[in-house]
This record gives sequence, structure tokens and C-alpha cells, in this order.
Amino acid sequence: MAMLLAPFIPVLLALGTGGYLFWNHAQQSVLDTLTLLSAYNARVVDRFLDDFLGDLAMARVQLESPDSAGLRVVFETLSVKHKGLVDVALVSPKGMVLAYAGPSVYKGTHVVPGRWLDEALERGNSISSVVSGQMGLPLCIVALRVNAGDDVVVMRASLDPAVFTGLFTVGRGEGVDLFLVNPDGEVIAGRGGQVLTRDRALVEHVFMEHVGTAFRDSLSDAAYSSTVMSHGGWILGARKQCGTVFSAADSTLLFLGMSLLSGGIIVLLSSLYLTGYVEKMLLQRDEEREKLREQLYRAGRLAELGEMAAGFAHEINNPLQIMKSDQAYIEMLLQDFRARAGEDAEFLGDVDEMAASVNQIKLQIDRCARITHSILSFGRAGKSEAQNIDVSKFIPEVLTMIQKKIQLSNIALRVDIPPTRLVVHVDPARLQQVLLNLLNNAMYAVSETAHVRPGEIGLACSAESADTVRIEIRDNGAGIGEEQKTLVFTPFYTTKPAGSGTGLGLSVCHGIVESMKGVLDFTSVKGQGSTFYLLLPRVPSSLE
Amino acid sequence: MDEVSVNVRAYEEVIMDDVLRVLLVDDEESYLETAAKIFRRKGIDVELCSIGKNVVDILKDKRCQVVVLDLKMPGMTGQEVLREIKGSLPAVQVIILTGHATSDDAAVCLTSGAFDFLIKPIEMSHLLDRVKMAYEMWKLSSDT
Repeated sequence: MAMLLAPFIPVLLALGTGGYLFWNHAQQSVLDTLTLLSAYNARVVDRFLDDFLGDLAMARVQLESPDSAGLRVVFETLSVKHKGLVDVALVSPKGMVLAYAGPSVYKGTHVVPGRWLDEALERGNSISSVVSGQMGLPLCIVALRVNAGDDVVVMRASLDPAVFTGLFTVGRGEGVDLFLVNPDGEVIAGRGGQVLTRDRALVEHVFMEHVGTAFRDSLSDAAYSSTVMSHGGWILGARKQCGTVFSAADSTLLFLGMSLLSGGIIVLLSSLYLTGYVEKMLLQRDEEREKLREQLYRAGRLAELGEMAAGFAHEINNPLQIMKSDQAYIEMLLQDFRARAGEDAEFLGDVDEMAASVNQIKLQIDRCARITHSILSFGRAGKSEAQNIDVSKFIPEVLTMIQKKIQLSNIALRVDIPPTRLVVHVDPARLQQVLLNLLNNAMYAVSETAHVRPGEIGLACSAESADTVRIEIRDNGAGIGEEQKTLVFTPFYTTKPAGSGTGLGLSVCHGIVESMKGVLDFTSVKGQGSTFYLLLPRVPSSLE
Repeated sequence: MDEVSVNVRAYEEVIMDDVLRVLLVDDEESYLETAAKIFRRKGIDVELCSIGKNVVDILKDKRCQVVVLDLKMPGMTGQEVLREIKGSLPAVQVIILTGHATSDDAAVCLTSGAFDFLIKPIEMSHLLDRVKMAYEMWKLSSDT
């Protein structure tokens, strides 16, 4: 499980970091865009006001008489250029209306004095935020101080705030709200051409706290940017709802999510495959190691046993020789006794009995000698005369030695030898010894089940691989039980009745095949038969 | 002419008599005793020795033509004794009879000049045959 999850950690980290960086970048770029838009539009409005003030100043020069008739000329001239112009008035420093030109007839003599009048007198001009005009409509007042001779008057022009909305040509189509706000947070002109005086809902509280910067308000889920204009301390704000602002980021996040999902699926599948593969490999490796360990253990144990057995054999040979000498001497004495007995039949009978008994001793000494000699050939690390042998020719030669015996035992022999050359580099005498031993064992196994089914022995050789020759001897005899399988190659282990086998045959064969750098092993099913096989290194045809 | 050569010449001259004399060398005393009885019954003179280093002295003294030599003995080993015999009395035929037989031992002994290499236990009749053959070989090599 941990192996499956492990690949996701770097993927998640990479996607998480990438996603975070991308989102940050997307947010920053939106804020940058908003900043540009607010700065640009602020400059546009500033220019417009500069322009308008310039036009007012020009109009003052054109003013021939400071009365309403003269002012009407000015009003009409200005109206040509500035459609949003509502009216124009000349106001005395005390707030007295000296002249008026506009859509309606001005009846009063005073305008409501405001900050604009003081500002215009003091600074030369004033641009005020929206005020309620004569008709109750919102107006924007632009005032200019005019020196008429020694007298000072203020030329006051009212503008429909909608003109500012008309200026916001850039950015509106991109889902951006642009609005003008006075320093008190009152909206002068807003989005979509509306003029929403004192509609505070348009401007969030946070906006006024971050004037001059770009920020994202998570509460209203909107991004804001604002620029303070040079006229009237006005602020030009730009706003974009995050829903639209970050749609690009969202789609990217969706893409990242999809990537994560599909990548995850790929990683998961490949992890599953790899984990399975690695697990299989590890199991296989374990199995091989276990097999090797078993082989080493077996080889080591056999070698140890071989050495020990050889030591025993050496030690036993000496007393056997003494027994043999004495047995020979007794036989000589018995010869004398026989000569001396002459016609004494009873004595002669005793001598014969003694001779039979001595003969039994001789037989048993010989039996011991056979065992010790087998052991010695098992433990012996003698030099062998290896040579290149073509197994497909050699096996038939070996078979001639035993064929007669097999036929006499009523055993069917099936030989399967390919016509190809299968050359191995071994001592032929030793290979013959191994093959005869295995064939003898097969015959014995078959004889045990002769009453159940006709015996059958198969002998085959083939190329196991490019560099290995396989020789197998198969029988349909008694087979080997599970418990016996581990003991098959152990010295002195035999299933034959006492006196029939030393239990060394297969141990010796195992040692011989190992010295040939080959493998001797078997498969067997109890009651069905066994197959013993040799794997020998094949001599490449180029070296034959 | 050094002393050894003189001795060899003298030895070979003296034993021109035609009686087979065998020296049995083994550390198993009971084997020696029984084997000696058998050899003597077959009309063969037998000398016995159970210590390797005495062998050459006995050979010189008793003029044996054939030695039946064990390999594994305390003190001097059979192989050392064999080399010593072949060094000073090359005509003497040595039959190795040992229970500690490996094919390597056999190869070493046969190349060192042993007449035969036999493995215990062996039929006494077979041993007698080999001894007689060795005697024939001795006769051949001493004629030349």
C-alpha cells in the first residue's frame, strides 16, 4: 500500500506547488490589469477635466459682456464640444449669480455657496463632487476664478456626471466595473453608464481602506484597484468579480485536477504493475536463493559425509585385512585337517562345516570390503580423464552393456536419442558409471511394481538449452515418497533389502556429476515412477 | 666409488641365491603374524617390520627382493619408505598394500617406482600372486 501511495507524494507536491504558483500568478496578473485600467481611466478623466478647464478659461476670454446674453454665447460654444454641459453661470465671490445660461431660466440670485466657491476663489479652480442641482439632478461642478478688471468672479459650469461614464471606454467589456468616487466614498459615476449618487453599495467598505492599491477582498470575492486622480481628490476604482477574474485560473486548476487524476491513474496502474513485477521478481529470487541454499547445504552435507565415510572406510580396511589374512590362514589349516581326517567321515564332516562357516566369514568380509570400496570411490577426489564425448553415440554403447539384462527382466526399453551431436566434456568411465547406476536403480524400481504393470524404462537425451545437455532415465516403477525425496542422495540411504545395496550409488553419482559441473536431480510421483535427469554443460560446436 | 654404491654392489652379489624373501611392513602386528604364517606355508621366506625407518636396514641385512608396504604408519610414512628403498635399493620391488587408498596416492606411489598398488582388504592368494610377479620383475631388473 505504501509503495502504491509513494509515487503520489511527489506528484501531489509538484501539482500543489505548480497550482499554487499558477493561482498566485493569475491573481497577480488580474490585479496588475486592474491597476493599469484604473490608472489609465484616471488619466483619461484627469485629461478631460484639464481640457474642460482649459475650454472654460478660453471661454472667459471670449466672454464679451458678463451678462446672461454674453454667457449664452459661451454656453453654446462649450456645448458643441461638451455634450454633458448642463449650465454655465457667473457667480460673485459672495455667491450672487451675476449671469446664467442653461436649459432653464434661472430665477434666483444666489446659488448655494459651497466648498467649490471658496476653493475656486482660493486656488483658481475647483472641481467638486456631485451635488444636487436645481432640478434635483446630480451635477458635477467645475468652477474657475475669473478676473474681470478689478472684480473677481467665478465661472461655474455644471456637468452631467454621465460624461465620465462615457469616458470609460477601456475595460468595460472585460467584466470590469469602473467608477469614480470622491474622497468621502461617494460615487460620482459608475458602471454601465449609470450615475449612482451616494450609492455606497457600489463601493465596499474595504475599498476606501485600500485606496491607491490593488487587492483582493475575499469577503465580497472581488478584486479592486484604485488610483487617486489629480483633480478633486477623486478616486478611480476598477473592480472585477473573482468569479470572472479567476475563471481562467479555475479552468487551469480544473486542468491540473484532471492532470492529477489521469496522471494518478497512470501512476497507480504503473505502480500496480511495477509492484507486482517487483514482488514476482523478489519471490523468484527468494525461491532461487532457497533452492541454491538447499543445493549448497546438500552438497556440503554430502561432502562432509563423504569425508567422514572415507575416514571410516580407511580405518575399517585395516581390520578387514587382518580378518582376511586369518580367514585365509584358517582355510589353509582346514586343508591340512581335511588331509589328516582321511577316512574319518565324522571329522571330515566337522571340517566341512567349519569350512562353510569360514566361507560365510569370507563373504561378509567381502561385503564389508565392497562397502568400503564404494565409500572410497565416493569420497575420492581423484583426477579424471575428461574428453569430448558425443552423448548420442555414447549412450547406445552404454546400453549394450545392460540391454540383455533389461530384456531378460521383461522390461520395455524406450530410447529417444536425437540424430544431432550433443557433445559434453567428461570422463567417459564416470559417465558410464552414473548411467549404469541410474539404469540399475530404474530396473530395481520397476521390478518392485512388476506384479502391477509391465515395466518400462525410458532413456532420452536432448539439448536442454544452447549450452546444456539433458539425459534422463524414466521408469514407471514404485516412485519415491515425499519423505524419502530429501534422503535420496544421502550416503547409506537405501530402500533395498539389507545386503542388496550399499546406499552409496546415488551419492557417488551425485558427486561424480557435480565434479562434471553438472546437476543430477529427479522428479518422482509415488506409485507412478521416477525420472532422474542429468544436466551437463554442452561443448559448443565450435570447440568440439 | 662411494660407500652406498659399494654396499649395493655387495648386496646384489650376495643375494644371487634363488630364494624369494619378502619383507612385510605394517603397523598391524596381528596381520603381520598371520600373513607370515601363510607366506611361510607357501615356502616363502618372510621378514616382518612394523616401523618404517627400519625397512632399508632390514632389506640390506636380510636381502629381501620384495617388500609389501603399508602407507599409513606412525613415524615414517609408506611413501617416504618407498622413496628411500628406491633411492638405495632400486632393484627391490615394492608392493603397496593400504587401506587408506586414494587414486592420488596410487599415482604418486606408482610414479615413485612401486611395482603395484593394492587396496585392503585383499585375498591372500591374490597378494601371493602379485608377490611372485614382483619377484619375477626383480629377477629381470637384477639381470639387467
